[in-house]
Amino acid sequence: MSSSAENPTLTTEITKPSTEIATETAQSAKKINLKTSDDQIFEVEESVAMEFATVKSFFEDAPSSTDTVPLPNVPAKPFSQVIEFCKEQIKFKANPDETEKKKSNSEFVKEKTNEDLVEMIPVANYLEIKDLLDVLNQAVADRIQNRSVEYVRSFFGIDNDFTSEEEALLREEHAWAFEDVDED
Amino acid sequence: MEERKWEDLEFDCLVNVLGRVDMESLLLYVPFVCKSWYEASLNPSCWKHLVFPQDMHSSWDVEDLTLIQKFNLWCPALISLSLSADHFLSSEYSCILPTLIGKWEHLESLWLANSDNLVDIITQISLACSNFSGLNVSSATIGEKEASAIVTNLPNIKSLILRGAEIDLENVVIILQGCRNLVHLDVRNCTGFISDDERVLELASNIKTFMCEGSRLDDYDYDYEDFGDDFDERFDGYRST
Repeated sequence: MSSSAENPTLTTEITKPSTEIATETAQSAKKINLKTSDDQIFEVEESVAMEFATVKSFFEDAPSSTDTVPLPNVPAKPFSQVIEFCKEQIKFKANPDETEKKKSNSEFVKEKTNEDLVEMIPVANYLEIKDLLDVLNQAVADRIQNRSVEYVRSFFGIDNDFTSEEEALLREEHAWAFEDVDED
Repeated sequence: MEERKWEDLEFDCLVNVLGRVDMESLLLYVPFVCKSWYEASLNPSCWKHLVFPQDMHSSWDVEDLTLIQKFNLWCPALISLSLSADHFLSSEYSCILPTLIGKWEHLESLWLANSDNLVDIITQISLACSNFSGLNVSSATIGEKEASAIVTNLPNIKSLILRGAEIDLENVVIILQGCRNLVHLDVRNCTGFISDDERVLELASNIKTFMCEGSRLDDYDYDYEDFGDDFDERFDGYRST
């Protein structure tokens, strides 16, 4: 494929793990090229790409299309992690084992940084990967639960857009739940 | 790479995350993060599961019933409600609950601190909550009136937890005969029937998870061991004071 010539470094990086696992099937499996918002091209096995509802419907609308599918809302870094997740998911599709799946999902999020999780959620949302979105949303919820406002803001890189008057008013509104809580 | 703007993230996505944090975080931290999070925290989808923690802030004046009424207005999408905390033992709660349940048409599970006014509560559930599937009552007293109400109003209930209840054999039988779709029945440490009663075991044989260990006819011959963890938890508070 011409894209491999254009992006030699990236293609080697992405296909390496999959060739190690399944050298024989790799030759026969159809590949699909996906282009991220930062202009990197990922060559992904069709079975993995079909996990992305957005990509799937792209091919359903234009079945004969062989071009590279643009993913304008998807940066490369979180996308490569999303691919990693979907590859694992496919294994469980062929061989369903809920306990192992849960274990694998929790290991997947455990080794991700806060930033990784936060970056992956919009990607999973855009690509409509429901299972991944569930796993990510739960992981983020677990990590922000019972943390301070400041922690949550820095977790997501959010700026406080309340004026001090607005904040005071809001705290007054919530006073019934808020008294006695130490500021941290 | 362009910086992710979480405050601008699709509202649905944010609400989905916030729907998974506990009640205290939703009240005490989330609304103050930024304006869009404040908006999101008011969305009914964030308030599907309401579990009042055992160690509620003393400032949450639960004696003042406006708290639960406030939640009633906030939570039209409520799926599960846990009022198991000791704060809800007051009979005022069991009196007000039937008037609130009509709003919670999606309610699937309810955990009560005691069985006061249980018949009224169950009747309202059967009228309003078509997907109701699980009831948990702490320190319940289940007489014929209550058992019949469960069978009549919740014949398709899937999970029933009456751990430590006072319930006679005939009322266990009424429930077992009337609620044929039970998947989970927990009548451990009850008083009023013995755990190896043949009739009970036979009727319960098709229930996937049936637990009745520690149940006995009367409670005067119990020993400390039988209470197990429950006993320890319940009395920890008293010991430390």
